[in-house]
This record gives sequence, C-alpha cells and structure tokens, in this order.
Amino acid sequence: MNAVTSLPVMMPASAEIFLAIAGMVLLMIGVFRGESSLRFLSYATIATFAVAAILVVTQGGGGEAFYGLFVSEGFAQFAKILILIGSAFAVLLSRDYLVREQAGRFEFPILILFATLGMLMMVSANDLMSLYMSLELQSLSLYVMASIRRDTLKATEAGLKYFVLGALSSGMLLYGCSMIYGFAGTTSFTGLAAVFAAQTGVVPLGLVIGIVFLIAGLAFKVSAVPFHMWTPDVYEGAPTPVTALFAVAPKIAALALFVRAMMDPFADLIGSWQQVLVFVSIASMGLGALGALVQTNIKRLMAYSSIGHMGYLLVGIAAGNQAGVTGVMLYLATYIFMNVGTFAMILAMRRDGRLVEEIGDLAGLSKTHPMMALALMIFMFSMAGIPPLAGFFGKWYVFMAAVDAGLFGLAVIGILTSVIGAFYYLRIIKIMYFDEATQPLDDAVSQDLRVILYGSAVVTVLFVLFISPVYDAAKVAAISLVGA
Amino acid sequence: MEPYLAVVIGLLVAAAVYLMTDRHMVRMLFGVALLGTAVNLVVFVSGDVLRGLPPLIAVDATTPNGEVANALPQALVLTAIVIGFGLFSFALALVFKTAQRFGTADVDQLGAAEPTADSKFSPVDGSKDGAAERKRAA
Amino acid sequence: MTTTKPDRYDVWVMATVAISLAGFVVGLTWIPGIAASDFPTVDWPWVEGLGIDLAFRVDGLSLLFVLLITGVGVPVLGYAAAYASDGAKRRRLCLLLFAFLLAMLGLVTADDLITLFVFWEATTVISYLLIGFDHEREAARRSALQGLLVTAAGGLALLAGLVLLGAEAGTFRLSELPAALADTDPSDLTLSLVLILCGCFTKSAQLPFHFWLPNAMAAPTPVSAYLHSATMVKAGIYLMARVHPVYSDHELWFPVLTVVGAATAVWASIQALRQTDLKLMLAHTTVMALGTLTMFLGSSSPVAVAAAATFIVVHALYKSTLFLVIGVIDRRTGTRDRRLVSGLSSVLPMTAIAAFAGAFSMAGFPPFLGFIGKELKYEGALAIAEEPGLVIVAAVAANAMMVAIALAVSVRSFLGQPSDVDAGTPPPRLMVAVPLFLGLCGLIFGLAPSLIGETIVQPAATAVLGMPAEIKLALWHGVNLPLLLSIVTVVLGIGLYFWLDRITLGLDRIGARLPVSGDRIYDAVLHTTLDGAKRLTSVVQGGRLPVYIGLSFAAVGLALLVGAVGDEAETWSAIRLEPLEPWEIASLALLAVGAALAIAGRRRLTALCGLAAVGVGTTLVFLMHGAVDVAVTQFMVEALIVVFVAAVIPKIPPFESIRRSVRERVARGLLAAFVGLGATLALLRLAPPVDRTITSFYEQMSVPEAFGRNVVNVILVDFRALDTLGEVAVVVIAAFGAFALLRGRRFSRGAE
Repeated sequence: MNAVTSLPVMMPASAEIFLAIAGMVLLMIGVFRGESSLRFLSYATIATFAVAAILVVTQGGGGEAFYGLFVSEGFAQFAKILILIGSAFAVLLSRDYLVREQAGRFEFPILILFATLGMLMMVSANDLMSLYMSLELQSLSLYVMASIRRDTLKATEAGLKYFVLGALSSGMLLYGCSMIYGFAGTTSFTGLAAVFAAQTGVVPLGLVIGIVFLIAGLAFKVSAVPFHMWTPDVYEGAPTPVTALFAVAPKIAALALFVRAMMDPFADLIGSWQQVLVFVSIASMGLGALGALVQTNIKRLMAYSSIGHMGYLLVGIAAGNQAGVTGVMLYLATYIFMNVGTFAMILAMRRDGRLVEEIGDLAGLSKTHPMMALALMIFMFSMAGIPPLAGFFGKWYVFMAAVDAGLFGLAVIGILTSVIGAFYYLRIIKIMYFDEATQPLDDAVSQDLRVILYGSAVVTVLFVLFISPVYDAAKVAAISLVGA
Repeated sequence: MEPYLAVVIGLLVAAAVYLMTDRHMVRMLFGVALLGTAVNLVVFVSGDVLRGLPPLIAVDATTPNGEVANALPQALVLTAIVIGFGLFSFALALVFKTAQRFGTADVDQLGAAEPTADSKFSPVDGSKDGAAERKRAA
Repeated sequence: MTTTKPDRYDVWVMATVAISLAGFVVGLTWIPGIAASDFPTVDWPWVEGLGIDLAFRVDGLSLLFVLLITGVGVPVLGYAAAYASDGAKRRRLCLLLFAFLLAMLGLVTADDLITLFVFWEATTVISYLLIGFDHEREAARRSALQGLLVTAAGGLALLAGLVLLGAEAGTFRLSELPAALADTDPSDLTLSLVLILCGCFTKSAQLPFHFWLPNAMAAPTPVSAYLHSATMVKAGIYLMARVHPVYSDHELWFPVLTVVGAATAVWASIQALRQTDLKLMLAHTTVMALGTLTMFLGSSSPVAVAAAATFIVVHALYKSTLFLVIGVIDRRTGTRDRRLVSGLSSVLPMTAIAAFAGAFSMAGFPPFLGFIGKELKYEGALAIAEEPGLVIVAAVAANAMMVAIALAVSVRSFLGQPSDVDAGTPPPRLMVAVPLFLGLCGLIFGLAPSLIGETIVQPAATAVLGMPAEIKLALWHGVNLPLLLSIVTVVLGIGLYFWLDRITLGLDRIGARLPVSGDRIYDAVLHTTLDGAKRLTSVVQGGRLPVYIGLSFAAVGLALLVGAVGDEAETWSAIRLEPLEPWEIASLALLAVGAALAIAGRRRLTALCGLAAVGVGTTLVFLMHGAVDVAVTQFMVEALIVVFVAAVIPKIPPFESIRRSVRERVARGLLAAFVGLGATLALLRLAPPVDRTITSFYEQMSVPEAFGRNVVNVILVDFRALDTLGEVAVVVIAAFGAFALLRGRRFSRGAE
C-alpha cells in the first residue's frame, strides 16, 4: 500500500497526529526560546486543543485506522472533547499559577499537550499494546509534571511516589495483557471480542487473572481502591495546577479506556469481571467518603473526593450495559466543571500572596468574598449530588443503570456512602458561611481564575436546563460503543 | 523451556518486590527495572517459546520458510523495552536530582504525607518541609 | 424597629408576599375543578431519553397542602418582615422563606418521582440555611447541621426507594403508580417501602429520628412557625399520604406506621411536659402531632384518613398561631421560660386573644376547629379495625397532655399576676396582628366547618384513599363515644395542668438518667465515624511509599495465588519438563544469579552488576528463541542503563546509609516470595500452543503489503506504526523530562 492511498486511513486519527506534530514544534520553540515563551506556548497549546477538537468532531467518526489499532467513533469523540476541555482548563490554570509564582516553567504547557496526546490515544486504543503504549505516553508526561517542582520535599516525594507506584501498575497492566494474549492469541480488541464471543464453557483461570491484572492497572490510573494510595499524597504534594490536571483529564481518559476495555473485548466475559468491579467500586466509594471526613487540607480532600467519584463511576461500568456507559459519560461531563471550578477556587486561595490550602482558611469566606463562596458552595452541593445541580444527574444515571443491571446492593451502598460524602462537602459550606474569618484571603484574583470559577459555577447550576441534549449525546456515544 | 522460565520469572518478580519495598531510592529503582524485565519475559513467553529461527522472509519467498518464532510478541516486547527504558531514564534523573537536592536517598526521609492524629488540626507551619519536621519531632 | 412599614429596600419582601398571596388565590380557584376530578396538570419533557419529565399535577391532597403552604406562608412572611431587626436581614429572611415556600409547592405538586425528590432535597437545603439563620450562635450551627444530616441521609434513602419503586412500576409518574402496581406482589415492594419510610420518618421527625426537630428551635421564630406548622415536617406526612394507595395493602404498612406513630406521639408529649422553654415545649408537641398523623395514615379506614386530613389543617393553624404568639412574648418579656411568664393579658391583650384561640384549638375545646379535629380522631381511632385499643390509648394520652400544654401556654402566661416586662420591647403591630388572624381562622372554621370540609378535606381524603370519600365536618355529633373520650381527655388534661410543675421536675429527674437519647446516638454515630475515618486513613494512608508498594503487591499476590490455585487440575499435568540445552541452562542461571546479586549486593556496584547479569540473561533468552531484534535492543538498552546508573551512583548515598530492621526484611522477604510464587504458578497455567492466526496474517502480508522481509520490523513500522509513534513520543518526553529536571533554573520562591 503506498503513501497516497493510506492517507485516508489515517483520518480518524488526524487529531492525534496533529497534536503530535504541534507538540514537537512547540517543544522546539520552547527549548530554543526558553522561559520567555511561556505565554506564547500556553495560548498556542490551547489553540492546538481547539484545532484538535475540531478535527475530532469532523474526522473522528470515521472508524478504524492504523490497521485496527486505533478506533474512533461517537464514544471516542465524546470522551476526547471532554478531555480537551479539561486539558485546556489545566493550561489556563497553570499559566496563572506559573506567572504568580514567577516560575517560568515553559515545560508545563508542552507536557500537558503530550499528556493530552496520550489521553486521546488511550480513548481510541483498540489493541492491548496500543492501550499500554498510550497509557505510558500519558503517564510519563504526568510523572514529569508531578516531579518538576523539585525544590520542595513534598513535590519531590509526590513525584517519586507517583512514579514508582505508576511503574508498578504498568507492570501489572502489561502482565495482564500478556496473559490475555497468551490465551486468546490476539491483542486486538476486535479479535478478542470475536474469540470470547465464540468461546463456550468455563473461562480459563489464567485469562481471568489477565483481566484482573488489566483492571488493576487501570484501577491505578483512575485511583480506585486498592490502588488509590498515590492519590492523596500526590494531590497534596504536586503543584496545584498539576493536581487540577490530574483530577480531570487523565481520569476521563482512563475511564473511557476502562469502559472500552470492559465493554468491547471483554463484554462476553462480564461474569469474570463484574464482581471485581463491584468490589473495587464499593471499596472506592467507602474509602473516598471516610477518608475525606477527616482531612484538613483541601487538596487532600479533593483526592479522597475523586476516589469516591471514581467509585461512583465504576458503578456505571460494573452495570455493564448501555445505560451504565451513558451514565458514566454524563457523569464525566458534569465532573469536569465541578472539579475545574473547585481547583480554580483553590488556586485563588492566597493570603499575603502565598497559596494556602487548609480548609480552615476558608472560614468566613461568605463575608469577605461572597461571590467566591457562592461558587464554591455550588460546587460542593453539586459534588455531594444534591439536585438540581449538575452532580446529581451523573450519580442518578449510574445508580439507575446499576438498578437496571440488578445490582441493587451496589446502588444502595453507593447512596449510603453519598450520605457520608454529603457531610464533608457540607462541612466546607459550613466553614465558609458560619465560621468567623481569622484573616481574610487576598482580594486580588486574576481574570483567568475568575472566568473559570464563575463560568464553571454557571455551568453547574444551569446544567439542569441542558440535561436533555447532553444526555442524548452521551447516549449516542454509548450506543456507538455497546449498541442500543 | 516454559516451566523453567516461569520459575525464573517468579524469582525475578520476587527480587523486584523485595527491592521495590526498600527505602533506598536506587534499590527501589532497581526493583522497577527488574519488574520491567520480568514482565517483558512474560510477554515473550505468552507467545510460545520455540527454539526457532527468526521471523525473516527469504528474498525469493513471500512467507517465512518453515517454523519461525512468533513475530507478534517480539514486536510487543520491543515496544515494551523501549518504553521501559524511557521510564527508567527519567526515573534515574529524578532520583539523582532528589538525592542531590536533599542529600538523602531514603524515601521515608521525604516526609510522611498523612499527618498524625495529634498534629492534624494544627495550622500548617508554612515551612517547606513541615511534614518532615513533624515526623522528626514525633 | 417600631415601624412595620417596609422601607424602600423591601420591594423584595412585598413581592414575596404578593406572589404567595396570588398562589393562594389561584389555589382557591382550583377547588371546584378538583372536586369534579379535573386536575390541573403541567408537563414539560425534561430528559426525554429516560422518560423523566417536569410533571406537576394538583389533586385534592396537593391542593390541601398548596393552600396551607401559601395560606400560612403569607401571614408568616408578613410576621417575618416585622420580626427582623434590620433591612438586610429582613430581606434575606423573607427571600429564604419564600424560596422554601416555592420548594414546598414544587414538592407537593410534583407528579414525577424525581421531580418530587429534587424539591424534597431543595427543602432540606433551604431549611439548613433557615435553621442556621442566626449563625453567630454555636447552637444554631450545630442544630442546622444536625437537621441537615438527618434529613439529607433520609433523603438519599428516599431516593433509593423512589428509584426502586419507579423501576418496579415501570413509570415515574405518581399518578400512574397505583394502576401500574395493581398486579404486583406486595412483597416485591418491601425494600422500596422501607427506604421511602426512612425518608419520611427523618423528615417528619418520627422515632427514632425525632431529635433533630426540637433542636431546630434554634431558628428564628417565624421560621420555626412555618417549618413546624405547614411545611418542612409535613413533607414526610405528605409523602406517606401520597404513597398510601400504593402501599396500604402491604403487610408492613399498618403495623409500622401505627406503632411508630403511636410511640412518637406519646414519647413526644412526655418530652413536651418536661420543657420549661415555651418554644421547645411547642416543638415537642409538633413531634407529637406528626406521630398522630403517621398513626392515622397507617389505616385505610376513610374516617381515620379524614381525621388525618382534618388534623393537618387544624395543626397548621394552631401551631403557627402559638409559635408566633411565643415570638411576641419573647420580644415583650425577653424570656420564653414558662415559669417566669404570667399575666401578660394586660400588656398584650390582642396577643392574649390569639393565644387563647390557638391553645383552645390545640386542646380541642369547642367551638374551635381543634374540637372537630379531635372528635374525628377519636372516631377514626374507633374505626381502625385492627388495633383500636392501642390507637385510642395513644390518642387519649397524647391529647390529654396536649390540653395541659395548651393551658400552660395560654392560661399560665396570660392570666394571673403580671410578670416583669422590663427586659423586652413592645412588638410591632404586625407581629401581633398575624397570630391573631391565624388564631381566629381556627375559630371561624370551627364554627363553619363546611368552609373546609367538602372543599378541601374531602378531596384530600379521596386522593389518599384512591376512592371517593364522604366527609362532613360538624361541631355536634350528638352524645357518642368520641364525646365521652373528649370529656375524659379534658379532665385528665386539666389534672395534668395543675400538677405540671411537679411532673416537669419528676420527668426531668428520670430524663437525666435515661441512658439513650436520639441526640446522644447522633453524637455517638458522628464521633465514631470520624474516629474510624481518622484511624483508617492513618493506617491505609500513612504516607510511606514502601508500605504502599507492599500493600499493592500483597493485593497482586493474592490475585495471582487465588487464580493460580484454581480447580483445573489437568493444566498441571500438561506441563512438559523437556531436557534443557546447555545455553538454556546458562541463560537461566545468569538470570537467577543476577536476581540474587541485585537483592544481596551490599554495595551499589555489586547490585548494578546483578542488574546487568539479568539483562544479559534476558538477551540470551531472546537470542536463542528467534528474537534477534529484541535481543539486540535489550542488550543496547541494558548497556545504556548500566552506563547511566554507574555515572549517577557515586552522587547518591550508599545503601548502608539506611538501617533496615530484621523484622522489616523478613516481612519484605515473605511478601516477595509470596508474589513470586504466585507469578510462577499463574504463568504455568499458560498452556501452549498459542493461536497464531494474527501472526500468520502478518507473515502473509509482510512482503505484498509492506515490502519488508523482517516480519518484526514490518509489524513495528507498518502494521503497528501507531504503537511505534507513541513509543517515540515516550522517549522524547522522557528526554524532555530529564532535561526539565536537570536544567539549572529553580523556582525563585516556593508557595508551600
């Protein structure tokens, strides 16, 4: 096959190819121009994301590319758009931070770009090896970001922890992949699906081990129990914009990959993995809720909160049906804005020019910064899943899917942990509204942060009006993956 | 060959586990490297180990001649090796820089992230390595 | 302070009153239509995909609540405007109250289970803000949080119940539920019933969730009046009435509601007698009233249901009156202690009239509406076929205590020796007028019960029962058993009233010794949870990386071993131990020795040699099994790693710089052996030969498609070009990352 005829075959992956090329170019510019290029690189990266988003929308529906290693359909398009939104927010947040901290780390936007490239490829990976490769591409960029601020012990420790535990999970993932290959003779998702559909009788235990290890590797990436341990330390230790990135885009990518892996190649083996996911989901919801109760650092609290959210999202995957996938996609769409908004708030928490991150620092915020307090209250209520805010609907759909799938116990446990969850989100509201301020936070909040903070709050509140189109889009995406 | 390789891989994994749970960063890193090697071998083993010829195609043929080694796992292992190398190099730089900056190779010295119960509700002291100081005081 | 005329900032307040009043009038216009079963409905599609709509429907039951919510809401809003001390607070209070009013209206008119839940939670959240309105006080904050936690927890249980109910029925429309569930086996509904009742009981403060309501007295008086009379706590009652047609045949419905309701009613009346704070006393009587309502809703007898419907109106009127009266007393005297307040009729004559009107209605004296309500209750109790005894005893006991409390609020406070009023200020006129109006309503409806009987109560009872009910309210039913019971009640009540102080003392003494109370259980649960969470995080999340790794590996090892020691015995027999060639032995030995050196090497370079040996051993394995390319790559990578590490190692402290205890090493060794064993056993399960279809495809296509003769290379650069692209990107990022780490510039200042 010559080069001319193979070009159309690449079109579904045009967004990724564009990102890769743009990343290399920006890297060159960055390396040669140094710190002074931060501003340019940030906006260039966001522009790149915008172009990539257009390519995803226009070209992404085309099916397979690269001899079936890469697949793009409605599901991938939905997830990729969410990822690009989350990453663009992360670039904005980090730019503000880097400027304020006078730390002209021009590497940040480029690393976010490469991480995003990895995430997009994860979403479209249609082969165990592509899955591994894209995951590593993403992870390595994140390892670098987590450890790049090497002059504080906490950041260094965070970077090291993330790396070592990440390497462990990569090993497990690869181990799982090779076990699966050993039993099925193929690494392609399409091929695996065909093999398992034809298979009758008992599932070989070695294959189950392979799937369990694959799940374990993915569980690490979405920070689900028992592979969540890096999350609180890294969230707390890493620079806040990095945490903001960690909390959103990679989670979406890893979950999309998780959904694809479970629903496409292993759909017919649901009996082998459903119980594992139910366990992981319950443990994550429980630990996330309980752990968050006693935190005083708001980034650490967000870490436990994200563990809990991942538990809820896994409920949708464990349901193993189209409703569950729809729920997961919808949940993720709401998840972006609650999290980005909250992290914008955390980045706006400065006293005498320095970032503070204790929850107690929010005391009396309703008096000193009423609008910010209102925005944060919206995010907290939304995360607690209180209607009619956005966060309620995601929870609602995944629980409904679990009920549909007959997982009543899972749904009920999920709702019970939501009660505990509600407590710690409301504790923040109580501190903001009812506690006396010791020393007010700084007034100066940059334009970027304001826009992100209030914009996200508006979206979270008004989501209820747009629930129908978003739901329809999520459903179309889910159907493109698992059928009606 | 497979049963013997399985035993040796188990040995490598055991060594990796032992080293990765060490507090010295370099030993930890060695553990990561061993784990990578062990997993690469697993990938290789999963596609049948034949005492065979390399998967090459003769000039006058269009398919390999006779029984050749399984090409697919080889390609997979190659990818994994290169990725593992990338990871290892970066990690080495990270360990080196950390040891230089803080003068220790002990991961526990970097500080306990979860504050103990008694220091839980004290305001953060604002110093760079507050966690480590708290730990030392305890 | 003395002016009740709203200042110019209070257009908001005026607007809330006007809109609420309009709502009330609209409600009135619906009466004839609803009596003729013509129900106003609104239906906006919301999430079409799931059939969730913003659906509203007003039937008799909804109308009863709509009229109460707006009818009590308007006076309370006016009172609140007069009550608040400054403009900003006034506006905030009124807007919050109005928001609450809207949420309640949504709740009682929703025809969709999810819409209902949304409004249910909205009332929870707004009530949190209302109860904590005076957030300067610690008690207010604690009570607000307690109320929120209890009701929000119940709310989520309710959500679970509603989901199950909707899933079972196949529809989320409340109005379609009874028909949809007509053929369902009641036992399939048990779980949803229990969960929904949890929601109702927490919201309506039934035992054992009753404790939050009296604590919620930390709220400003108009808030208490509104929440306790017509709204918040009635939401649970409303929902029980709403699902009555669905569940009343369920075997749990009658016993649970009757017993819980009766126990709550009696327990709350006893608690009420203990109180010396007038407001707290009334708060407990609210719990008592809710218990009574729950008890009657347990029955399917038309009279009992009619009694419940009537009592909802009665209670709303007298309870709002009395709360507002106490607000006036508080303002005028500066105290709410019933032992310190007396003879206020000379200072507050109009309020005295309101107080007597409210109290007599509460006590059930003719000709007040309360009398009709009480007669109907006794009639209903007698009509309950299964447990009339329990219900009658509970009703009489609770009502007798109610009489005593009513007398304490009215007679004790307003007659007799005038008490000192220096600590307070004269209340604004509006604050006096509002309770007077509400109190007189109780008298008017008592004298002309047909005003509410056929118009409001009968359609409500019809809706609850799911069939037409004939209800005629009248003051005089002739001499019958209910009348006799009334007389007994009044006599008992007056007796209790005269002994009230002693009873209070005695109960207080007993109460102090009670080992359990809901409040204490709440505290205990809260603290146990927090402590447990603290312990859990310090164990699981201790911050030590080696521990994290160890825990992860433990999970891995467990998975491996569980998988490997499966039941398929035949795979073990399939293992072929063929003789090894010398070079094979050499490569295996190199791997084993290398691993041992890497572990045991005390010096950094020794360990590095071990690592290198493993690399060479791996290279040999690849080389001897037809993987030339892999072997070459592995060797080069290994060489590079050794060079890098050797260059870096002198700059890093030696291994001996860290002490490791024997225990630690033994634990690690055991874990390592465990995981290693698991890995081996799991690998032995990989039964060859593997399916080579895909590989054959590559072998076939290699030359014609990609013009390549090295199949591995063809796979990498042609068929799997994507992986290779990613691989290159990984190496670029690794180099870039190392560059970023190692380049000289540092942050000029830290943030942490």
